[in-house]
Amino acid sequence: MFLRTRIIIFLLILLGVCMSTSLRAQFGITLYEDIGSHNAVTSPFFKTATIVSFQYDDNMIFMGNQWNFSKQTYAFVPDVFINYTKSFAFRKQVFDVQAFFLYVPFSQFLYELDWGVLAGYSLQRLRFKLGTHIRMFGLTRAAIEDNAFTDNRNIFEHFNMIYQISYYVNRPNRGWNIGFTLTNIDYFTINQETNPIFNMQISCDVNPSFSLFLEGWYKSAGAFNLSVNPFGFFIRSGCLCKI
Amino acid sequence: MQNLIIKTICLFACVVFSSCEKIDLRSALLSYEKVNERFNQSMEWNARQGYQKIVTADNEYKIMVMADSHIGSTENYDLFIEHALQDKSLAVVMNGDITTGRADDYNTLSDIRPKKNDIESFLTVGNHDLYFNGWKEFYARFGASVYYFTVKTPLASDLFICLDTGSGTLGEKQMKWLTKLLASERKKYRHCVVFTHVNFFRTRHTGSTNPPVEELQLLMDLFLTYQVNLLITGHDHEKSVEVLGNTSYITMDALLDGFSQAGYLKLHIKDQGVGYSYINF
Repeated sequence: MFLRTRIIIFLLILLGVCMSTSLRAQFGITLYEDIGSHNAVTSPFFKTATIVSFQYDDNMIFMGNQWNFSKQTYAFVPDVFINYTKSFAFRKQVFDVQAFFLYVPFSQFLYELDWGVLAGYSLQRLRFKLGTHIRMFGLTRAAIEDNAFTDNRNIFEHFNMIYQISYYVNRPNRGWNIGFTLTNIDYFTINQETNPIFNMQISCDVNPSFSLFLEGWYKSAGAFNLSVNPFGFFIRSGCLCKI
Repeated sequence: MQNLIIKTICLFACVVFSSCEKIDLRSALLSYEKVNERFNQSMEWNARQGYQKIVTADNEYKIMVMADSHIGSTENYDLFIEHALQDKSLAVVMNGDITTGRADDYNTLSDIRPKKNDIESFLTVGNHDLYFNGWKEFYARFGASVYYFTVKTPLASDLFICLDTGSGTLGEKQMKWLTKLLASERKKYRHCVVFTHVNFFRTRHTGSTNPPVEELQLLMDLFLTYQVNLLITGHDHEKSVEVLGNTSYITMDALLDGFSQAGYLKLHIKDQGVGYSYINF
């Protein structure tokens, strides 16, 4: 199954590169590394991600995978996400809508599937996203076959809220920027709405088609109605290349 | 436009922060102590007191479990203890948010906690128990919030694990302790039941918090691997049952006075498995 998925992803990337020779198309690739720690692991974690994007007019497709090398088991199966974004203008304001799918195989016997929609609104320095998603925790085929489970194979959470509020020091057309974000989502993680994540980002354009970024992420275990403790912190560093 | 948005966010924050007199604003942003500190103190207590072993001559037995009594008032709590004594339960478990965290309420709980000769009682903390520096009050009166107890019947022994999720996370030390405990002890016991105050899944949409997803994933994997029979939680105030593999994830109704669906959970432990029934007043 994973070989077939990789072939499809490869073909889509190839198609994207070929089509990006058109002036109206843009192909991009983002690579980053996360290093950090949280309460559920005893030693620091390392995650490596690759995200390819293809833009044609107002349509964008993102596909990414992430390897978590510090997972005790099952580290060789990556997390995968696919996102389709459509941008449009309404009364001189820029909006976008996104549909996404996320697959996180977190152990040999269990996986998480998420799918949902997001609406985004951008001003010069402020950006907002609001949406909803469905989360499913499921048993893998190995778990079902090993234990002969005939039912109780998954648990659903319906229509959880997802949000993102960002403030940037500079307008988007400057060569560098610093941003602050409050959210409950990342590329490969969707937290419950009551478990916020804060991040600070610094980005710098080396040239028009290549930029570097550095981000610090802080995760809180709960907010407002709990005796709140820190959950984790990680540093993300990477680059974005536009072709 | 940007000013309007910033003003709206500020107004929303003011409403959230001033909306509930039961919430300690200091705790809502940062706890008085870290979960790791409470874990260390709990382990010190356990080293002094040991883990409790209950022996019963019966092959089948019952345990009553409640959460979210939020003492103050004690009408439903008194009924719960009365039912447990009448039903000849082997023990009661009070699974967090037993008090509001204030010293006066801890004094009330200390006065009305059933005597050891009448029935065994096991307590663990919820988020409200920690408000207003409540951990000091809890620890001084009741001791550890992380521990296990066992029940030995003529047929087999069962393992019951109480965890501290009052801060919304187990913390790395408690997680390590739980992993080690399940790996070393689970095989020796017939059934295994885990108690946490905070519920795992968002089966309905409230402001109540769940463990962060990364922690949830690890716990679900542990429970599946070591065949935990039940996870019993409160926090959400409304009953729900989710089952994945061998493990049932149970959320109880609150025992809170004045709550329309107030109730508790009765566990029926038999050789065939761990059954349960919701009892509402």
